[in-house]
Amino acid sequence: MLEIRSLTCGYGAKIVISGISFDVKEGELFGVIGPNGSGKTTLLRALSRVIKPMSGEILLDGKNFQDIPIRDFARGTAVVSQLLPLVEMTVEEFVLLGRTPHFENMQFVESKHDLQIAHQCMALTDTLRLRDKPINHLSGGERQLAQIARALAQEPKLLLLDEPTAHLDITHQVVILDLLRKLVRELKLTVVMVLHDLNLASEYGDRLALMSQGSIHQCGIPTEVIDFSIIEEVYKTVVVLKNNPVSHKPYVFIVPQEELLKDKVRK
Amino acid sequence: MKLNGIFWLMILGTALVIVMLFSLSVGAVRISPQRIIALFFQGPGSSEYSIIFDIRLPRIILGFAIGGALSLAGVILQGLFRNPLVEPYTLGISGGAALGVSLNIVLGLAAVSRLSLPLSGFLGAAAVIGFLYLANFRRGMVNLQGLLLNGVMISFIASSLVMLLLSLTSTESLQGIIFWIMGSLGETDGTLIKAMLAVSLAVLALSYMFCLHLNAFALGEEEALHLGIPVERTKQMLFLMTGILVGFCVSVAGVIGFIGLVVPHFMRKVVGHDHRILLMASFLAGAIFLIFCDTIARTIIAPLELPVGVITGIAGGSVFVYAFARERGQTHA
Repeated sequence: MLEIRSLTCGYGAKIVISGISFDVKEGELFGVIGPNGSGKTTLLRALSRVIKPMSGEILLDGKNFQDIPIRDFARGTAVVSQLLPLVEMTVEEFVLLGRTPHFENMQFVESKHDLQIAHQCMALTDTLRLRDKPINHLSGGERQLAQIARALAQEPKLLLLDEPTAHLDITHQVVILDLLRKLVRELKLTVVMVLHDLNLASEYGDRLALMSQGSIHQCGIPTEVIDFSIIEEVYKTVVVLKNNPVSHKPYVFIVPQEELLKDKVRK
Repeated sequence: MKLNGIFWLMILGTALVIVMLFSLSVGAVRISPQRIIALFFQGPGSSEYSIIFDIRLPRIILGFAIGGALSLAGVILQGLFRNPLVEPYTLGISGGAALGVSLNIVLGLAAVSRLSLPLSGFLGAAAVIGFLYLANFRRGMVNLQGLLLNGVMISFIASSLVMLLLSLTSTESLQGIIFWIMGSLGETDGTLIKAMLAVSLAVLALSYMFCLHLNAFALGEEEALHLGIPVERTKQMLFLMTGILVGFCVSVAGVIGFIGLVVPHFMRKVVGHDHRILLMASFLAGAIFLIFCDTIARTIIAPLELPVGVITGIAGGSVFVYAFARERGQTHA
């Protein structure tokens, strides 16, 4: 689906990520993790075409990014970012904006079909009940769901998300990640998401890429990436690893410094 | 929502017709609307006919074109910059035009040809547009904030230079410059009026090619890109469109303030943020507002004429302050 070949990019003359290569397969939930400043968001911005590669290339279904007109690109790829509209609009209007890339050249008004799709996407994300509410009045979790609904209204095959669970309570973390997994399993969507939370990434990612200082440190299934020696090396923090008793996925425990000292004294 | 928008456009259309008829009928000679319609079918010959169709109508058409154009330019720029305080004159285009006209008057070129005034105004405006374009658009990516700052600085420089000219020049030129800067719909040249109308309507039609782009811009430039909008090209096109529009307006009618800032603002409150309705609504409302203010300007102390910019400022500003005070009162109650 997505092939990244020795990708280097940054801002101005400053290189943020360099020589990155990996593939994302069709129908997988791919997680990008890494410490602050490791280049996760820059990678996502390159994948969503906000910034251009300095060298290397990105292929979507075998086609080079540069060769795909931006509107065709938007018909197949949707992005969920953290940005909010600056004007007051209702959830329905907001979700309908997702239909923009599908409008014909001289089409100004959304068709019945557009409305129908917007409503389906709102139903799927449980935001239909909020359709007439102003988007700025929603809670963080509802807002994130509305963002996803808008992205889905683009009818994408590839969905890119930047920290979809940031600042959310565990209820909404689970709701959103369960939804993404459902989209991948049932609608055969491909999802690439940047996540901060190692445990959520481990729990939900089919495969993970761990970034460190602008390059990929490790890429593979969660058990290959979430390993205590790898995590300690990249994050420079002492951690303990256990498996989730239900899902058997690795779970990272942090250890406060005070406890470490006590532990040493005991030994 | 959609029906609501079309309803508002119909109201504005009706209001436009009423204001036009009102403006046609009042003046030194009062002519009733019924008489106007009768005259229309009667054809030329009477003195009333020439008052209506040779004196008042061209002025109304000019008011329609310029009021609509300024308001349209305002709504586009506010959408583009995502800043409700941006107005057509913020970018320094009017400053360039004012400088061009002042130079013209000081050098006495107006004596050569009447058309040299609008021409020098347009050259001044074009110089600013060209400079802003070359300084900001060449590298492919435009920093809108930089463009805005550049524009504001050019405004300052241009107005300082105009001040300099004013301080050095004779009293006659002084009055000419000041009157021009205050703005007026007194232009009588038929070709210029037709050209202004054509430019206004053409840009209005062209702006509809970008109404969805402007809606997506409300989410931010990056989000607009994610929705498949060619962001850089759109910014470039909208800048050129509004630049030309404002350049034309200022060279024909001088600096008529207030419309481009407040009419779009007001329309947003009334019809909402959807540019598919908002572009047209702003154009119509701007046209109505300027025709109305101009009618007052030329009748209130007749036979003398007030600068229309004074009326747009006083009338519009008061209505605006009142409307906002009422709205705040309602939300607090």
